[in-house]
Amino acid sequence: MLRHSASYRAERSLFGSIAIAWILALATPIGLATAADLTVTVVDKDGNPVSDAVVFLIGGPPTEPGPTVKMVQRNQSFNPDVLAVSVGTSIEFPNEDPFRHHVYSFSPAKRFELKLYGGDEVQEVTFEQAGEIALGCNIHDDMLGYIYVVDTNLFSTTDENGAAAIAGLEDGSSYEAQVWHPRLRGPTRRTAQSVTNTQNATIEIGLKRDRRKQSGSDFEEGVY
Amino acid sequence: MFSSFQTKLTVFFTALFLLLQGAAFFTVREAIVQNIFDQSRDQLVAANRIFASRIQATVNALAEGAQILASDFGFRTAVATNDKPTILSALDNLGARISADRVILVNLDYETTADTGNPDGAVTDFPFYDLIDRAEEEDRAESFTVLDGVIYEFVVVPVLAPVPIAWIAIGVEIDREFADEFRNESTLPIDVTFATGRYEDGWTVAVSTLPTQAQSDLPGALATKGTMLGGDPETLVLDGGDYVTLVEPLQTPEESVSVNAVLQYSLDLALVPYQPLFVVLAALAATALAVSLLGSVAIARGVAKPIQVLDLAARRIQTGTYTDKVEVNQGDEIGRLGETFNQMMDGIAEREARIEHQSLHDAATALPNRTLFERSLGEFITKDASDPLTVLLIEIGRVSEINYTLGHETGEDLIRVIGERLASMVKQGDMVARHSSTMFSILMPGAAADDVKPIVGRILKSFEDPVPIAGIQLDVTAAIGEACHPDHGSDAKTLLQRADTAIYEAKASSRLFATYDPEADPHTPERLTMMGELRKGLDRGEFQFYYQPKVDIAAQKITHVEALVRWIHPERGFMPPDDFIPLAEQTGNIQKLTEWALETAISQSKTWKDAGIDLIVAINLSARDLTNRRLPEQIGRLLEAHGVAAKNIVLEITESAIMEDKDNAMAVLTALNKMGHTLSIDDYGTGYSSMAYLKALPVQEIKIDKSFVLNLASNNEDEILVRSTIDLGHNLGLKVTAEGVEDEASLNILNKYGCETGQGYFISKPVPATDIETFYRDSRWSPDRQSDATKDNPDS
Repeated sequence: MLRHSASYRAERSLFGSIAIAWILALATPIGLATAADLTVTVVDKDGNPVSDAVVFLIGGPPTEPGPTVKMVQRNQSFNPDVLAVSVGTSIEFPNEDPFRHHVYSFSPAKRFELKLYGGDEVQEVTFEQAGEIALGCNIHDDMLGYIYVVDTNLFSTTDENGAAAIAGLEDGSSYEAQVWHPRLRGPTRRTAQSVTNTQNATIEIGLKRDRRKQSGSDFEEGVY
Repeated sequence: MFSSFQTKLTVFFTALFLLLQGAAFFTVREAIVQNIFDQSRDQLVAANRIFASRIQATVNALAEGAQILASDFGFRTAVATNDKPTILSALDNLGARISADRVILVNLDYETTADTGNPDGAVTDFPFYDLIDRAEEEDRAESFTVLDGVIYEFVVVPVLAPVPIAWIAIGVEIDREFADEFRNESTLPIDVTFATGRYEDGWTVAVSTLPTQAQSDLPGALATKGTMLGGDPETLVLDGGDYVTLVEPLQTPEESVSVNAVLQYSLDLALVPYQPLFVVLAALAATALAVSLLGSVAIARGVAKPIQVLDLAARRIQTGTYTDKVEVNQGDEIGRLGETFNQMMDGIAEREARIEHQSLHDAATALPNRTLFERSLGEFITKDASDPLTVLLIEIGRVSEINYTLGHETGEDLIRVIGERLASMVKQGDMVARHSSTMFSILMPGAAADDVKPIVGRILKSFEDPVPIAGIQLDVTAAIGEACHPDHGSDAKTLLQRADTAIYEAKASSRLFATYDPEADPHTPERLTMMGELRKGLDRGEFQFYYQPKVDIAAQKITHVEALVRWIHPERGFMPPDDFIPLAEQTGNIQKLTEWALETAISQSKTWKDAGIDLIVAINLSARDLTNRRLPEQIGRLLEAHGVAAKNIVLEITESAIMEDKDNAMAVLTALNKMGHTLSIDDYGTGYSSMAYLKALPVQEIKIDKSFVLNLASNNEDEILVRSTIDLGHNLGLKVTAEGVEDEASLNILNKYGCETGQGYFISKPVPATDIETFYRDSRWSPDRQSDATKDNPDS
């Protein structure tokens, strides 16, 4: 009956099916700072690689907006399924379908609405607040996409092999690595683990059932 | 109660039919009820499926509606912006559109943010987390719940934007209307009840289509059955009616009070269509019962009636009625039994008649016996008390003698022949009966005393001829006594007794017939009184002996005296011996008189002897004395006591006395003779003189009766009789004494014929003892006057 407790409910995210994992990267600063790479592999409880997981490191230099990236609407779906950006980054929403979309977000981190637009219009939204944003289309119920805004520039999204390569780490430093995934199970919805730039890390996360798997979205093809 | 066979039979068959009919009726009914029950179970199971699909349809409609709302962009916007008024109005609109009773919006923290059932309420916890969790897993969840005491079927769907941002819980109330609709839409009138609560704690009926009383009975009835949750249908009794019941637990969230659907089918209702069948069955059973009852009564009657007839017949037989025949006109065993009954009755009647005839008739003569005679006599007297009637008693003499000498068979033959004779002599309507072994009786109704004289004459005449039996001519005598009604008695016993008394008289008379004479009857009260006086008289010395001298005819001298008793009654004066001797003999007083006589006579003999008077004393013994075997001893004692020799006492007995009881008489006489007594036959010639007996008897003397001697001198016939009697006696070696010598001529004749002794008034009348002494000494017969004898005898 633990889940009846008030504390449990307090931890629940508005984005019920999405969770964030923390990765605690414990790096020991040493004399000369040189750039280095870190690869973090995310797997589920069964050891299968998990794609579309956002891995980001806490403890880096102050965040700077990244270059404008695109969240494309193609084949009645968002592409990519999960798009991670740093705070202050702008995202374009090009419509590559021959019909119009009506993209919206009711997420607290960024509430917006891109009313019916076609391929001829360029829609751009800037995300100033860290957090997850669930994207939907008002005329295509099955479309679901995520934008995850992180307050760091050290982040990456896992590929089909569950691997996320993060570059530009200060050599010898240690970080707290955090993982976020839309279906990550658990009250904190994030997993934290200490990582060093000298050592690739594997982080295991628990995932909930893919609610959209039968919807025909490519999101369902996520690694299981 | 069941005492009669007919009732038993009827009751048995009726009970049997009742049992069979009842069994058939209840078997059929039970089969129908069982069938209905089975059908009802199937119906209930089907109804349960219908119920489930109906609920599913409702749920689907709700979910569809809710999902439409949940995907409405405007609504989602309102939810995302927490625009409560808009949300509420949207929820109300949804509820109205799809006829939902309650729509609730629940946020991701399980909180009710909008509730059409409580529009103004603050944010509260939505109680059914389980429902939300399931909806999160499965996009949709539904369940029965109890909310605010009301049962709802709730469906929960997410509000997706595009991920869930809230939940819509939409429900319909399970109310009476819902239940009624369900009931009405079922093919059978299946009652549905929604009960809440824990089974073991007893349920609360929330909604039910059952009647009120049945509703209240339901929880209790369920409790007695144990758990029926999800089980097979069973029968419950509610408000006295049978209900086939199926209990279906409904899915509820863990947080909710459980809800159960109870589907029921009233067997009473189900039986309604069969009622006409039951009525027909009952009517058939009743008809069959009535027919079987009538049939068994008829059969029982058929069997019992003849038995009752036989029963009655048996009772009739018991009371001795054999004339009413049994009428059982059946060809079966009972009919044959009836015939047997009739034959039995005939047989019994015949045997009874035979037995009665035997008991009332004499075997030897086939004549009525004494019993029948007395009965008939009594009947005649009773029939007409004033009508005259005569009874004759006929005693046949010599029967015992004939039995003795020729055998009983001959005796009986004789009696039979005499009986036939008598029967042939009487006229029609008279009755001849064998009265005793030696007596006949004749009843002559309507005849007065004089009327019977001719027949009496004929009867007596018939005895004059000998009766031929077995080639022997038997001489038979008869004495007839007559008694007449009403003169001599008014009842059978008295008349017979008096006729018997008359026989006694008849035997004493030469005519051998006598009519009852009260004067001669010893049994009259007067005479019985006299017997009492006789006993007293003996004690008082009223009796004395007179002695009549007996003389030796040839020697003209007195040799004997005969002692003759005299009773001088203080009131009546002189009593003749004939008046009281027979009476004393008949009444048993003779013994006392005999004692007195022996004592007196022997004592007198001694007195005379002592006085020098040499006389032999003769004493008369009665018939009764001869039956007394102790008499010789008694006399012996007296002789010894007085010192008198036996030869000085002569004992005189009559022939008839000997004949009365000849065996005893012979013994007594023989004893006395041995003692030395001279024995003398008195009144010889009057009785049943028999040469054979005379020869056999131990006697030394006969005394010719005075009736032959009185006119001896003038009657030639008497002279011949006397002479031959004297010769007979002498030829038998007996001495002869003649009584009744009243003149000298007679004495001379006796002397001429050799008669030894004479006695009579010519010699002397009986005189007192004192006078005997004078006579002995002074009369011409005195032994002392030997010399004068010839001188005084004018004939010699």
